[in-house]
Amino acid sequence: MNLTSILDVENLSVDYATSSSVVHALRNVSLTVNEGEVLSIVGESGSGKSTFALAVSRLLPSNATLKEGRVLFRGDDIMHAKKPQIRQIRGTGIFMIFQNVFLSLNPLMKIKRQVIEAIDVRSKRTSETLEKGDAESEVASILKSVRIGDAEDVMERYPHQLSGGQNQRIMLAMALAEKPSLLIADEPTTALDVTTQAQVLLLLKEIREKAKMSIVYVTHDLAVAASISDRIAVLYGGMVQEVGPARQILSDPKHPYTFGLIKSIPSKAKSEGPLDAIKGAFSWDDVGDVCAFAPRCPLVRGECRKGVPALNQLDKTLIRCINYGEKYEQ
Amino acid sequence: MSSNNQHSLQVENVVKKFSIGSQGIWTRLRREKRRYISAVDDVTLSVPKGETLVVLGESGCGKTTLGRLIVGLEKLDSGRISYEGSEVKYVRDRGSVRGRLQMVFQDPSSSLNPYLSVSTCIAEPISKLNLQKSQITAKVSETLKLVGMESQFMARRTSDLSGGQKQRTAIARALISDPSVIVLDEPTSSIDVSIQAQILNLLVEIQSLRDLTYVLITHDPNVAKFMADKIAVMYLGKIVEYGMPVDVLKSPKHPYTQALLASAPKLDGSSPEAIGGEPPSLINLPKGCRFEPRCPHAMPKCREREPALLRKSEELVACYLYEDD
Amino acid sequence: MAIFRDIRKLASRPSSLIGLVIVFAFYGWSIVEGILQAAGIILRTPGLGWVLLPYNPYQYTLANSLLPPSVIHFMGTDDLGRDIWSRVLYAAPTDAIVSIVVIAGGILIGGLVGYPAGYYGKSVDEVNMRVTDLFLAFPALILALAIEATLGRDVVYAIIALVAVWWPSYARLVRGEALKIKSMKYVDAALLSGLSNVSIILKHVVTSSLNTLISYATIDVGNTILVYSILSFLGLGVPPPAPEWGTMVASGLNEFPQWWWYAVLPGVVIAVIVIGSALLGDGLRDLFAGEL
Repeated sequence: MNLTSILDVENLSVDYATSSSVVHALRNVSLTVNEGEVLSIVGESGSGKSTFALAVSRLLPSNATLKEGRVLFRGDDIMHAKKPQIRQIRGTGIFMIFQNVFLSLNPLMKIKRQVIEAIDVRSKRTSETLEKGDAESEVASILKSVRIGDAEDVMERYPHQLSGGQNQRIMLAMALAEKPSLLIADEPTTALDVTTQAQVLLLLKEIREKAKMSIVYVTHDLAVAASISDRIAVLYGGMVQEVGPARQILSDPKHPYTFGLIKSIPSKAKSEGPLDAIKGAFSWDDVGDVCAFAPRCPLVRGECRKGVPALNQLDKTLIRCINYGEKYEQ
Repeated sequence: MSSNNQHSLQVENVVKKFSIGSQGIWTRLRREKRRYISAVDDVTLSVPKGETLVVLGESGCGKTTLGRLIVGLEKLDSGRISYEGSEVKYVRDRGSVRGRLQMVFQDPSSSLNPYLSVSTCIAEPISKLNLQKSQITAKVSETLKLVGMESQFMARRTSDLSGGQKQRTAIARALISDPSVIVLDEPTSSIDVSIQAQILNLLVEIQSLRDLTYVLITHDPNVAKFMADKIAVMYLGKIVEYGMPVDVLKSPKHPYTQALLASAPKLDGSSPEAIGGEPPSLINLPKGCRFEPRCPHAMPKCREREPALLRKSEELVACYLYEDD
Repeated sequence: MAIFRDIRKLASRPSSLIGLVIVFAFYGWSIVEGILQAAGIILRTPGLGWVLLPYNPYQYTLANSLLPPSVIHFMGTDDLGRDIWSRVLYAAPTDAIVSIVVIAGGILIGGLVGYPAGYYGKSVDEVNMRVTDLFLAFPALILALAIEATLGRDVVYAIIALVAVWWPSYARLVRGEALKIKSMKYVDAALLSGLSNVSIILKHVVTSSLNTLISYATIDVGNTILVYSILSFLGLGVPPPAPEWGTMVASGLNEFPQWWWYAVLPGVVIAVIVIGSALLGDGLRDLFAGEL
């Protein structure tokens, strides 16, 4: 394969300590993101997808423990480096955007200054020299390229004075300014209108083309994942259940969970009968030494409870399910 | 819309404005012109008994306000809302009788008091009816079963429940007083996708069991497709298109509906199409068509006067493109 | 049971554990000693009040005056030879009662003013909050002095003065809570269920604000005792020879710094309770926020 990987996550396991117990938020997650590709992490509550984004961004909360695993960015282990500031990570070419815009944007700084900061980070990394006025004019043109009208006006404002959609686009503008090699986006469009979301998704695709940026896109919405991904990884109960090319997973989902997820999206009228719902609900009690999806699976067998199924390779897809190969994790 | 059916929900020329900015004594003394947001601007709808009307639109279009007006949680500025002939009164007005109209809210974490038990929450609508404790318990248990939860949940605190269980509890609360109309405001938007289907199935099942009338508010065309008998598309406080799902969703007439449906991401991976621009502010509404600034088919007359709802085959559309039909 | 689980969670954090122990020890002791003192008064056997104490708190022996802390006199003796530690223990119930009455009174009056202000808003809010501001502007000490100058020196008058200046903070607190809770959808649901505004305030607004109220009130235990001690330090508390922490510190200042224990040690006890209640209050706040 000629693809060079930019992000290698190997056997990542993260636990959260709560007052009553320990929660295994991520277990043995191994994923690779190649240069220039978009990998979507799809999952629901309890899947561990947000933990994944936080772990890769080194932003895990204090009650999280990294039990094992490595995260390699361009071959360098970024997990065990000394605790870096966000700026340092950004300096190495990783940029993060979150659903909650105020986690990413400083509410006390004008937009102009924040975008200039992003430009500074980039210029330090690429060792380019900037004249004083250069940065400011670049800000205006970057804001225009993410379709923010009145760029000059918006530059002087603060985040709370702008709409959610505008703020997300400013985040993307900062990504454009910083030209990171890897963008990690955690549900960036969930709080937005469908029409605004469409604008943001289109912008992401443009940026990815122009800047050859790799993207890890975390979402619960399979349709959103469908519209921008090259590859999709489906998480359930803290483990990767299925990962492969987006087209293949969407048109021919193998894992019963992925299959059920796709089928449960309404696509008919009620007169044609009830929706095919996945029965039951996720519970942390199901996460243990057996397949976490077993209680809800229509294809469940005795073998499903003999251990935690291991990943099987089928063409370009990896599937964690006994029905595709009886292998177990040690 | 359908004519004066005795057994239906009627919304007639409803207007609701919210004033913004301070309304303290100082601004009043200076007689400053109050600024208003027209959340709902002259909306007329009716829903026959036992049917589901889906109000489809994005945030800020007024659909939530419309839902709240229907159940009486907001006071009308003008117009009339009635169910089975009798007028719906504002909840805080004296003597308004509750129970016939209920609501299920979007986020079950804030629609259920986290410190109270499931059974206390569910029993609330009948708590004022002077029933015996045993009668109340029986009704709560029965309603819990109806929404697919076992009676062991009765004593649990609502904060201990999962998202899907919370929403079922909220639905049970809406059902216990035997309402005729339930307004559901984005009932599945805050819960997992895999649970969403269960909840929608449950809602359909209960509707036919109890012959309920639903007004379901959503921004998701897929939900609309499944649940609706009729769809009303709202934009900036007005209905821009109204008709049956097969017409509105398969062949949308209003340019906004077309744009809305085109921008929704689809499982087949086709790129969502984005419409340009931002919606105009609700404070300074243009005097013409509200969608005109972003409309690819805008004509000069669109800026002059707002188009009224016109009949186009089986639908109603507020757009000059269909004026001569 | 849920409450035992909560106590265990509190105990898991060292600072909260310390606070828990201090506050429980203080009130626990005060209840026991208070019952004994009350029984002593009713049965006319004042000796009951010092059955559990190392010494009779009133017993003075001039020969033993101003002895330093030792094994036989844990906190030393005062200028009349009375055991300070016994007097500290004997005075504890008074402070316990003061703290409870002032906080309860503060919550009651503050609640009556603050909840409707936050819930109803508009003119109710304006009127109630202006009244609150008025009382907030009163300095507690001046008010207490004024009341006691008119009515006389007694614990009861000190308590009245304290309640009068204490309730505004609670009014503000619960008003803020009411504002927050008012916009919760479960209040809307209650309206749809036909509940009256008063029922909604009691059933939903008050219950949802209890956590905040409890952690705030716990910290207030220390505050009330501190301010009351200051009042009695200034001569406005229980008249002598009855032991009183603040009064003891005041008297002790006459012997400071050579016989430092008389002024310092009762003050240390006050400080310990203030710190303990603050630690417990913090712990409760974190417990309710789910961080323990």
